[in-house]
Amino acid sequence: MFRILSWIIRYIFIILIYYFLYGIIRLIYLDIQHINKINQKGSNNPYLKLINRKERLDFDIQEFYDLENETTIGRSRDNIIQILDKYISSKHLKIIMDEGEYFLEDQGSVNGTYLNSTRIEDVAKLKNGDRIGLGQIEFLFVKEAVEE
Amino acid sequence: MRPRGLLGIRRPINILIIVNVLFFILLSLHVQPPDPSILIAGGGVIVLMITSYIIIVKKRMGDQYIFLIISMLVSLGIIMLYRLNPNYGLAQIKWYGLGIVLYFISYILFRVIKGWDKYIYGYIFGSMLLFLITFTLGTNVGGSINWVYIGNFSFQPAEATKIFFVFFIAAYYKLRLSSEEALTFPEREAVLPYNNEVSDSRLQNHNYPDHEQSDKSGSNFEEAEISTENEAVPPKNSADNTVSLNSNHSTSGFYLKDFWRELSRRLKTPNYRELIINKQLIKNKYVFLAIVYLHLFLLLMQRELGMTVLFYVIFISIFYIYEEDYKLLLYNIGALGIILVLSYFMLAHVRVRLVTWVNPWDQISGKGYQITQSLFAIVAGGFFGTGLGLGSPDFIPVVHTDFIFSAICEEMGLFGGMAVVLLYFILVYRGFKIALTIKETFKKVVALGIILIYGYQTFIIIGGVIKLIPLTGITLPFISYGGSSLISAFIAFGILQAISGLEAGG
Amino acid sequence: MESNRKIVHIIILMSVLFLSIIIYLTYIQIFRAEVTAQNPYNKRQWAVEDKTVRGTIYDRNGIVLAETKVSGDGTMKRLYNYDELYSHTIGYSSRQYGKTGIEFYYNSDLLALTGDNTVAKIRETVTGQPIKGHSLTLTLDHNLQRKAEQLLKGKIGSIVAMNPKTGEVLAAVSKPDYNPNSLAEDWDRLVEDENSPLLNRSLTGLYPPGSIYKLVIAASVLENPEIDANYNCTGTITIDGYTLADANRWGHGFLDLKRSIIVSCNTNFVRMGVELGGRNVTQMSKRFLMGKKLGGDMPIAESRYPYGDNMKPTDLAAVAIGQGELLVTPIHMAAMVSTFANKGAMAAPYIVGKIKNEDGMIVTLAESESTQIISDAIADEITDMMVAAVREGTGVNARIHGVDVAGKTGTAQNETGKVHSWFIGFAPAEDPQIAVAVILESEGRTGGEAAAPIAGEVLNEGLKGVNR
Repeated sequence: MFRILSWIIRYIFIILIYYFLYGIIRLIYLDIQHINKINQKGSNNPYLKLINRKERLDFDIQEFYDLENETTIGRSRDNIIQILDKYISSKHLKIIMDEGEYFLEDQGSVNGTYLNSTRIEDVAKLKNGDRIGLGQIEFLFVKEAVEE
Repeated sequence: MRPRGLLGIRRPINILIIVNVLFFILLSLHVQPPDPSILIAGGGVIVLMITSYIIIVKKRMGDQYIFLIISMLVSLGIIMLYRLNPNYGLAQIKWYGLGIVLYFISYILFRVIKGWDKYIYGYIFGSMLLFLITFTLGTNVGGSINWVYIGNFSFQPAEATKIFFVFFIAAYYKLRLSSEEALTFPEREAVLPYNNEVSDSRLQNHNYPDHEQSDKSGSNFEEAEISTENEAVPPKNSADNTVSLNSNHSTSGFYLKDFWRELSRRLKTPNYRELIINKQLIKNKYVFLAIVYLHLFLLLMQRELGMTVLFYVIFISIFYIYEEDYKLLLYNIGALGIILVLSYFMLAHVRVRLVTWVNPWDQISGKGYQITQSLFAIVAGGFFGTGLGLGSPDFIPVVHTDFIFSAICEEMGLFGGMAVVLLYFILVYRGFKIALTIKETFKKVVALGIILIYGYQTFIIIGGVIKLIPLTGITLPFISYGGSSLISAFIAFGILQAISGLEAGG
Repeated sequence: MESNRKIVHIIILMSVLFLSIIIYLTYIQIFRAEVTAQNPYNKRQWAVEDKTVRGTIYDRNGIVLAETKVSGDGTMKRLYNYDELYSHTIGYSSRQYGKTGIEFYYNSDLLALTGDNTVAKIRETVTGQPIKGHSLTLTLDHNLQRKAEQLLKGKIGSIVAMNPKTGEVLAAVSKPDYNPNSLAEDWDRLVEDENSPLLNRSLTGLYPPGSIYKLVIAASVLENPEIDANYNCTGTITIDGYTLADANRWGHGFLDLKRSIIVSCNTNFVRMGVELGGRNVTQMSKRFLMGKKLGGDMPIAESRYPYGDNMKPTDLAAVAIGQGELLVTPIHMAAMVSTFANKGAMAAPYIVGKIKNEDGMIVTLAESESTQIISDAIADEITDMMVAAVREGTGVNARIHGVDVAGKTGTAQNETGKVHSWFIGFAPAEDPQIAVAVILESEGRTGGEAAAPIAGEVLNEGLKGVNR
């Protein structure tokens, strides 16, 4: 009895474990596809893309950050985007949306905020492709035109 | 950040459960008389798996495939061990339970405690303490001094040393690369004119748990930059020293002679604090290499051949990834050649391993016995295996630890064995994927190190039991019987899970 | 990024490592599995044997030669009912010492691993009743085998008797032998014995054929009418400066081919061999499967014929009288002489006639295979010469009352200094029922003196068996 059962189960097992492998590989594949989609960002929602040229960083950072109506960046926990770069002040900058346009505003940071390599003193309007520099990192502001 | 549909993930976990249910029913019938307590044990395993999996998914603890694959491997291990000897199986389930707890604990600790990269001395000390324990309390098992018995409890310190070793290497590269970077940092045209706001910055630093880091390693370089970039600012007292030391490191041709001169000069000056506290000494790559080779030497002294090889390949892989000095890399590979030749001539057990690899059939009843028995088991399985409980894997000596893969091949067949190899491969692939996405050096090296340990370890032991490479005694991760190896693997992958969570932005 | 690029290198390395495991595993399973599994140290073979009652082995008349007895507690014991008598043919099956003989090369049949035994397997699975192995019915005749063994007692050598028309081996004795029932006690002595009792001389003993090989040369002469067989034997012949002396120092005088066979004249055969040339001699030898597989179901050693079409005259001279580097097995000589008995066709010798499963259904039924080597006419002519050789020539000691025996003697020189004594023949000459090859190793007497009387008795006993 045991033998018959064991014989049957050995075939079922082989099928199952390869199905398991298939399942995992499929999920990983879907996952990668999903990431790629995020990378391509088909949505209209503007976002920041990390374009840092530095190879290594001492802190954790994401490749992409979605922008909300008011997005703050800094080192303290109160910020919407928290980046533990030691050259970034606790409240570093703010990106505000107003009537569909995005504006960059320095929050009085120590090392300053740079828009396309120029330190900003005041509020600056952002357009697609602008580079925002703070601390050791640089973001690309992406706001794709709505296709109609 | 990424919405994950729970429905889509259901399938692999379901298969995992079905496999366990089927095999545990079979196992309960395998013993005479049929033993329903095995079903309870199996149920326990399944509950553990499902609960942990749900926690990982619901709490968004990062990568979920890692845990699924590990669970499949552990299940196969427990099933095989139960079949070989129910006592082994039951013990392994207990270790599994403890392992899962430690998996979550190490996950939490790694995420909650910051600054793991700062305890480089702690890691070295930890390794050395474990070696000391092994040499003083270790018991000689089969020629190797690798087991420590304390009362009824026994463990293999080398399993913990693996993790210390990886952390040590990671901390070292973090230390070195961040200092190199600080020197080369000003790539952008506009740089940090904040000299008169230093105090302000410091104040802010104190709000954050990370402050110590910027205080210690960071501040020097900030100051270094100040002194080079902005001459208007008067340099601080220690600035001179730091600059000269750093410039020394940035030059690639740094000879041992210079190093000792430098070291002696420094030791005469009261500034040895720099060397030790600010880790300038440890940052030197020759000091680093000396410590690495000390590890290897001590392992070889314990006659832990498999572990020595494993530590070496982990080290050389990370060294290859991060070391720009190719000549030094070649020297290290050359050193391996010399060590291999020397150990071949000086250590009898190394010679035996090689001879029995080339032709075990000559010494089939002697030194080639293990490997030939393993091959007999593998070919007995054919493509689909004999069926669980229908083979004779117990003919192989130490089948429950080193040779468990042969037992799997015998009873689950070539396809079963290949599936196990593929499971490891996907696990390793996931690990690399995580390591690739991490930017922060320490975490990146830790992730890499962990995945290299388990990737190479799998290759070394499976390659060994199928006679692809010389056999060295080492356990098959997650499958072999043994608390030390199972628990250390769970801790290591708990850390990897934590790192993967960071990557996902959780 | 630089470090990520190098990590990819490591990923590739890791992939190669894992792939090599999979490839090597597959390689083992496909190409090495059979060799490895059959290693005598593989205890798994015994596991199958523990669940199987090894098949019984019968002689052609149903006499049990070897059987497995199952005792009350389920332990099995292999019994060889006639001790030494079948030691070399049936061999032994031992955990400690492995397997030889039929026990070895019919192992899978004896364990019922061949044919469709699904039903038995499932029954074994369900009830735990051991599987019953297939039984083998050999072509051997127990009486003839016993007679041959008695004739060879105390000597070193081999007797092979076969049905020349079918290739059925009727008797195969190799001396010295051993008792498969007491291997464990005798093993050390058997291994050290310089007469190699464990060697099956019938199948694997390689000897120079001596004068019996003249039959092959004669066949070639008959195929090549341009060769003049008539010759005046003076007792010596000189080839390439080497002088060969005939056994008869004064010479045989004038002879034709038949006379040359009757008296076994060396000088005339040396001359004819040289005149035939390497091409003819080698072609004929190869047709008689010298240096080739003999066929049949037994692991027979290939005879040695290390010559090509271009042969030196001295080599030709040696081969013409069955010397030189030419080496043959006794069973090959039995098959060779059968060719003349079977109208020029050689039947491949086989020893297992029927394989039956436990229900008595035939799993395999042996079929005889034969190949035409020489023409019927030439075979008849040579048979005629062989009959004369026994009636009035070197083979007179093989005569049987009332039956025409065809035969040829051989006395082969070898490195031991003592000649091997050969006789090959068959009877009755007009309708051959049994062919035989006898060799007495290093006997020191001529084939006519020592081997011929033994062959005569074997043939006589064999004919009694046929008539029974």
